[in-house]
Amino acid sequence: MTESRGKPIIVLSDLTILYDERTVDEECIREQLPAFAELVKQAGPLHTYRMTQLALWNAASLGTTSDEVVAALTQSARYNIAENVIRSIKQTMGRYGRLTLERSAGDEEQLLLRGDEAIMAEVAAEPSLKSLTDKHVDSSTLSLHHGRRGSMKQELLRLGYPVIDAAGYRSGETLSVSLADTTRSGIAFKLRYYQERAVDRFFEDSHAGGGSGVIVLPCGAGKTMVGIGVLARLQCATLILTSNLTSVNQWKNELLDKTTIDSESIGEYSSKRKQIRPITIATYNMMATNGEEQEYRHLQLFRERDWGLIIYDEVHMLPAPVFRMTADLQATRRLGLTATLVREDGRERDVFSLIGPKRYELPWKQLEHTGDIAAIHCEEVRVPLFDEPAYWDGNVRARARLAAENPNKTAIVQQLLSRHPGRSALVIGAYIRQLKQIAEELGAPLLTGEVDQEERALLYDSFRRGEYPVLVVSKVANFAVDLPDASVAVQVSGSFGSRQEEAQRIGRLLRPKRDHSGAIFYSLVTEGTMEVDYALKRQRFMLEQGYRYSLTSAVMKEETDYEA
Amino acid sequence: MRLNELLKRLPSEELNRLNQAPIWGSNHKWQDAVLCPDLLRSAAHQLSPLADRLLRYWLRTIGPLPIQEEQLRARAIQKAGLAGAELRAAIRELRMNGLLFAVRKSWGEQLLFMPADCYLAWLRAFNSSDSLEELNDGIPSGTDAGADGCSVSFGDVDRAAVPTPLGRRLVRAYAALQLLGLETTAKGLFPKKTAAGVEAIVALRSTEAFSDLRSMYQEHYPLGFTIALDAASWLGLIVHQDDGEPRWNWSDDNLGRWLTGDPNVREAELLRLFAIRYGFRNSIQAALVSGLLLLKPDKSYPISERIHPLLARWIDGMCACGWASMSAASNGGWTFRWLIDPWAVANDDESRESILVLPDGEVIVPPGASLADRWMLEQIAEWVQDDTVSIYRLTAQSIMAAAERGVTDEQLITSLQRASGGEPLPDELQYAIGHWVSRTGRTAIEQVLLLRCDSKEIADAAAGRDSLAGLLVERLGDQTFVIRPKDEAVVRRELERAGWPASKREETLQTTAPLSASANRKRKPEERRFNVIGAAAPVSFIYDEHALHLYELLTATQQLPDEARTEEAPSDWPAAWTAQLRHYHPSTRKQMIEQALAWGAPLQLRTGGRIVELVPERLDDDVDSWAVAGYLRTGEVYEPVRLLPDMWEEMRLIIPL
Repeated sequence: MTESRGKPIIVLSDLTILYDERTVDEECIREQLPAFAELVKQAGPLHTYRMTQLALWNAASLGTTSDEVVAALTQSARYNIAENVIRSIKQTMGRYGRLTLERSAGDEEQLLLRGDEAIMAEVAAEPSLKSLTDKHVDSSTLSLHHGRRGSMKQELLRLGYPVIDAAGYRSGETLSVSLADTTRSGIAFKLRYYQERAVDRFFEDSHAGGGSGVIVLPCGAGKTMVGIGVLARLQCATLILTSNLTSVNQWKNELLDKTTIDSESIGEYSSKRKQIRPITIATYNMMATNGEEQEYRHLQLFRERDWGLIIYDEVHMLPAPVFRMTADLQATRRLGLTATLVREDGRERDVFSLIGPKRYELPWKQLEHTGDIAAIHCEEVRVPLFDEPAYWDGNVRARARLAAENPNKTAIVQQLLSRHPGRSALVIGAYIRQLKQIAEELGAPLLTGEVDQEERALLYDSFRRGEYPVLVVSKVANFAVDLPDASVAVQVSGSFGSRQEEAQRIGRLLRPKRDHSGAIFYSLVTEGTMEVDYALKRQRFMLEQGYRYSLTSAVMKEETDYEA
Repeated sequence: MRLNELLKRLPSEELNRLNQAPIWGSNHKWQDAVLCPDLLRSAAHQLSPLADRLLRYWLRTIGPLPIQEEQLRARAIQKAGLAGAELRAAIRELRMNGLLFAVRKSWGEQLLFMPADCYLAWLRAFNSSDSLEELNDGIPSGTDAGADGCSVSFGDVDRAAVPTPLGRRLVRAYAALQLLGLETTAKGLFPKKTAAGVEAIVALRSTEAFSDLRSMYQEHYPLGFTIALDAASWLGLIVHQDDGEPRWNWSDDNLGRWLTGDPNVREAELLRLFAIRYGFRNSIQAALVSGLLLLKPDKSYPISERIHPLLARWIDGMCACGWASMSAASNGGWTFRWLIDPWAVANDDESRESILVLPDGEVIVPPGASLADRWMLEQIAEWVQDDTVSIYRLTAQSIMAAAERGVTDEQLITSLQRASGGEPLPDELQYAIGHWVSRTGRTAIEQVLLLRCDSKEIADAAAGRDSLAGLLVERLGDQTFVIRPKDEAVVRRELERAGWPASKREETLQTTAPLSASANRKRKPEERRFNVIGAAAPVSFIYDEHALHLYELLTATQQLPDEARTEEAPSDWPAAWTAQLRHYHPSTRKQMIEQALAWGAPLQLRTGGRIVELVPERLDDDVDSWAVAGYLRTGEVYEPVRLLPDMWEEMRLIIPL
C-alpha cells in the first residue's frame, strides 16, 4: 500500500473519510470536504466524514464534478484510494440531474418521471418501482399517480437515484409575514450568517428531494430563527409542531418579536386551547393523543388548513403516529429542526426519509470557534458512594436510584457552585426527591412539571434578572427553554445513558454570554456504580462533537467538610 | 523445500564448507548470499561454463521442483546441451557450491532440487522481462488448464472491494485460535467451533487457485481454516508434539518474532510462502507464479482479455488474498497491479505507524502498524472493520474479557500508549478502563479440596503440626481446611502419622462455612507454552506432492551414484584421444564415439576448417556404414546433426574438468 506520510485524509472503501487534524493540511482539504461529505463526528484529532449520496448530489448540484472530487481526495490522501471508491463517486454523481419529476400537463392527478433512455431503462427494471408507476409513456417517461410521489422519491433515493422534484409543492394559504428589522425592544435584528445559509440550503430546489429536509444546529444556535426565516420566505400558512407548552410559548414570543406577524394570526393548539390560525403551534403530545371516539383525532389538524409549510421542532422526538401522517404529506413543504438527530430507537433514517434529507448541519465546535455559541468546559466529578452495602443489596433498579440520589452529591453541588459566585447556575436532575433536598439546601427555587406555566414564566424571568442565581430544575428544563444567561450547570442525575439528554442539557448553556465568557457543565457521577457506565454512554455524543470531559474526584474529608 | 528448512537439516560441517566456498567471497555467508540477487549474479560469473549452462537450463525448465538424476540425464543432451560427463561435473560443481541439493528416498531413489526461495532469487537476478502480457504469451500452447478450464470472472473481482491483506486476517485468526485453544478432540481433530471461528475470520473467497489444493482433512475442515493452519505450521507458529500425548502448542519465540517483524515484510513472506507451497505444483505453474512475483509493485500491467486459465486462476488467488488487484482497462482487457511489494525488505529507518486511540474508545490502526499491536488489540478490543485502516473499539465487554484473562488495567493502558507511539490515552478512556477492570474478578469460582475434622480440637492440633501446617492453605470455620489437590497424598500420609487417617474423599460438598474473600483470586487461564528448539519438519495440512523434507538430505560430498564415476578418463583410453586433435581411421573414430557415448564425453572436431564441439547422442550403425547423431555446440548455438565418418577431419575426446 503506497503511503503518503503526513497527508491528512484516509479514504475508506465505504466512502468514509478520516481527517487527521494532527497533520499539515497543505491542500486545505478540510475546507473542501463539507462540499461533498457530511461530518459524522470529531472525536479527538480524527474527524469522520461520509460521502453520502446526498452530499455528493449536493456537490453535483453546485457544479462540482466527480473528477474534481477525486482529484481533491487523491491530492490529500495518505494511502491509495481504492478503485471501487472512485467508481462509486463517479457513478453517484453521474446520476445527478438525469431524473426529474414533473406535473403532467393534461392531468392534475398524474406526475411524469423523466430521464434519458439509459437511466430510464435502469429505473424501469427495478422491481420495487413497478408497483409505483402507472405506465410507460415512452422510452424516457413513466407516469405515476401524484399520491405516490413521496413513495416514489423515497424508493428512488433508496436505490441510489436522485430525482429533481419539479412537480412543485402546494403553495398553501398566503400569509403576509416578513422578518422585522428591529425586535420589539428596539434592537436591530437579522439572521446570523449560518442561519441565513441554512435557510438558503432548504430552498435549493434543484437539489434531489428539494423543498423539504432537516436542519441540524447545536443547542443555542437559534434553530427557531431558521424556522422563522423559512416561514418568512415562503409567506404561507404554517403548522409548527414542538415538544411542550413552554416551547409553544417560546415560538409565539419569537414570532411576535422577530417578524411582522400580529398575535391574532398565531394560534395555540394544546390541551388548553384549540386555536387554528394561519400560524398554528401544537405539541407532539397533542398529535399523538387518542380521543374517546377516534384514534389520534388531533392528527386531522394536518388537514384543517391549507398549510404551505410544516415545521417539526425537535424533530428527533417525532412520535410514531406523526411519522405515519407525514408520509402522506409529500406535497407540503416540511422542515425538521434539531440539535441532536440521535434517537435511542435508531429511527433517524425514518426522519430523513419522511421529512426530508439533512439539508444543513454545522458542527458544534465550528460555531464555538466563531463565537456564535459559548465555549464550554465539561467536567465529570466522581462522588464516593454513600451506602455501599445498601447498593449491593439492591436490584438493578434500586442500585440505579441509589447511585443517582447519592446524598454525598448535595454537598458537592454546594462546593461547585461556590466556585462561581455571581454566575447564574442551573442544577438539573431526574429525581424530584433529590432535587427538593438540594433546592432546600441551596435556598433555590425548584422547577418541575407540576409548576404551572405562569409560575414557570415568572421563575424564568426572575432567573434572567438575577434575582435567583440558582435554579433547580427537573427534566422539564431539558427542551425548549430559553435561558440566555445560564453559564453554569450541575447535572446531579439523568435518564440512564441518554446521549440526547446530555446534549440537550449542555445546550442550555450554549447561548453566547453577554460578557463573552465560557460556560461550565458539571456532571456528578457516583464512583464504582452503574452510573459510571451510564455516564460513559451519555458523554459519547459530546465526545463525537469534539468536546472532552475533564475528570475529577470528590474527596469526602469529614462529615461536613467536602471537597471536589 | 525452502532455505530455512534446509538450514535446519544441514550438518554444521557442511554449512561451514559452504560458507567457505570461493564463489561467495569472504564477506558473505552462503545462506545470505544465496538469496541475494546481486551476489548470485556475481557468483554466476565464477561458475564454469558447464555449471553455468546447467544452471541456466535448470532455471528455465526445472525450476523449484525436484527431479530424479536419471530424468535429468535423459534430458541433458537434447535439452541442456550437456554430455553425460559434463552433466556430472556440472551437478557436482553446483552441489559443492550450495546451489543444488540432493535427497534420498527410503527406497534409494535420489532427487536433485534447488531450494524454492533460492530459485526465486535466481530469477530476480536474471529476469529482464517486466510484462504480464509476455508472461501470458510465454505459456506453452497446449498446457493443461485443468479439466474444467477456468471460470474466473475478473468483472466480479473488479467490482468487489479489495479484501484486507491475508496476513492481517491471519493475525486476527491466530489470536482467535489462541483464545479458542489448540486442544483437539479424541480423534485428534480441531473442534468444529474452532474451525468455524477461524474460517469466518480468514474469509478466503472461494477461488480456483486454492480449490485445487488437496487438503489432508478435506472432510473435516473448511479450506480457509486449513490454509490458516498450514501457514501457521510452516511459519513455525504452531508445533505438533507427540511425546506420548499428541498435542499442538504455540511456539512463543516464533510467534513473537513473526509479530514483531516489519508488517510489510511479513506480508511479503506470506505471499512467497503461498507461492512456494501452493503455486509450485509443476514447472509451468512455478514459472508463471514466479513471473508474477517478479512484476514490480505499484505498477500497472495491462493484459488482454485472453488470459491463460492457469495465470487467471493464480491472479484470482492473489486478489482473494488482498495482495493484488485486477481492474477493467478503459480500452478493454485488464490491468493487474500488486497491492503489496512481494519483496519488501525491513526498513529500520522508518518507524512503524502508531495506532490512534480516540476518546470515544475507537482505535484506528493504520496499515503500517505492527502485527504485534494488532495482536494486542485482538486481546483487548472488539474488531469493527478492516479497510484501508482497521478499526477496533474498546468496550466494557472487551476490557472485562481481557481482565478475566489476567490483564491488569495498568498493562492495558501501557500497551495502548506504547502502540500509540507514547501518546497518553485520553483521560476519559483511562478512567473507563480502570472502571471496567475493577468490575471483574470480584468473585471467582474455584475447585478445591477440603479437609474436614470432626472436632475443633483435632483441627487445632492439625494446624499446629509442623508437617501439616504448610499444607493447609486456608482455614474455613473451626473444623475445615482448604488443601491443594496436588498435596492430597502428602496430607493423607501426615494425617495417618498423626493418628487421624483421612477417610475416602466425599464427592458432594456440604459446608456451613462461607468461602473467604481470599478465594476471590482472578483465575488465570491455563497456559501451555513451549519454546520449541530444533523442531522437526512442520506438519502439513495441504498435501505436498514433493515433500522433500521427508527424505534424507545428502551432503555435497555424498556423491550420487552417477557422480561416483571417476572424472578421470578411463584408463584404457589412449592418451592421444584426449590430448589433441588428430586424424583417425574410421574404425577408430567409431570406437572413440562408442567410448564417448558410454562415458558421456563430448568430442571436439575439426571440420571444414573450423573447430566445433559435438555432444553425441547415439550411434546409428548399419551393416556397411555408420553415423553419429548428436548436437553441434558452438557458443549459444546448439543444433542437431547427423555426421558420417568422413564429415570431419580431426577429433579428440573432451574430459570435463
